[in-house]
Amino acid sequence: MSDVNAAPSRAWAWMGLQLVETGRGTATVDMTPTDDMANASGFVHGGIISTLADSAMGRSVHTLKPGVVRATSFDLKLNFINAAKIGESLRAIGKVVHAGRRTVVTECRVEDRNGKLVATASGTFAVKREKE
Amino acid sequence: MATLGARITEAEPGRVVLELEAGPQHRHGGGVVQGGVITQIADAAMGMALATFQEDGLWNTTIELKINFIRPVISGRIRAVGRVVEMKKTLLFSEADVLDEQGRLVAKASSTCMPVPEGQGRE
Repeated sequence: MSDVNAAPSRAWAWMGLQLVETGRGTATVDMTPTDDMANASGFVHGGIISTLADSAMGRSVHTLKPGVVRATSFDLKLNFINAAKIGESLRAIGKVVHAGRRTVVTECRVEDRNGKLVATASGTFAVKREKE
Repeated sequence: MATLGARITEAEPGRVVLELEAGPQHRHGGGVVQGGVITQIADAAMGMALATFQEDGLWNTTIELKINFIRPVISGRIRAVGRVVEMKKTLLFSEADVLDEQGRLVAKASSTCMPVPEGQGRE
């Protein structure tokens, strides 16, 4: 199934991830961190931001043609640049940098609601493509 | 930089471009330019891009670097375009695209650097 608007997974529903927009090789995902997602300093936990970035990059891979049946991240890297506040929405913009037959390289920018940079990410996905 | 044969071809605030003419001395047994060579020009371009935003007397040293190699390159002019992502007080974030002579993406890198007094961490 390569429908980018496919029903969200359990994890997406649990995290409150929302697909806002997709384009050819891009996907925008929003979420609002809840109280349960705070780290010891009271800001949004890095693992939550990582999940958001991974999800946006994964969705961006699913917009490729020929269709992507399955995309599995095997490399994920983030830089946490500014702290994010609980209760304030975050936006992740995932983008395909290189679309190979078997692997896809992506990048992502995570912003707060004022457009301030929260994190940058890169991810590499192993993909299974539909037959052309 | 001199050993490698790379040179600065463009520099503006927040962005520095390095170029390298790839030859047999840069290739490994597989016949393509070695990843370390590509990493070095990317690292240097990123460090220099950050330096354009630093105060006089300060330089930086890389404390973390990641690179994706996207397509192999055999010869021709390789360009590393380093850009500043964000400058914090103790951490500096940058990224670089490495392009071949046709402008195709060869590698994509990101790094985190730390400010140091000039003379330290510099080749």
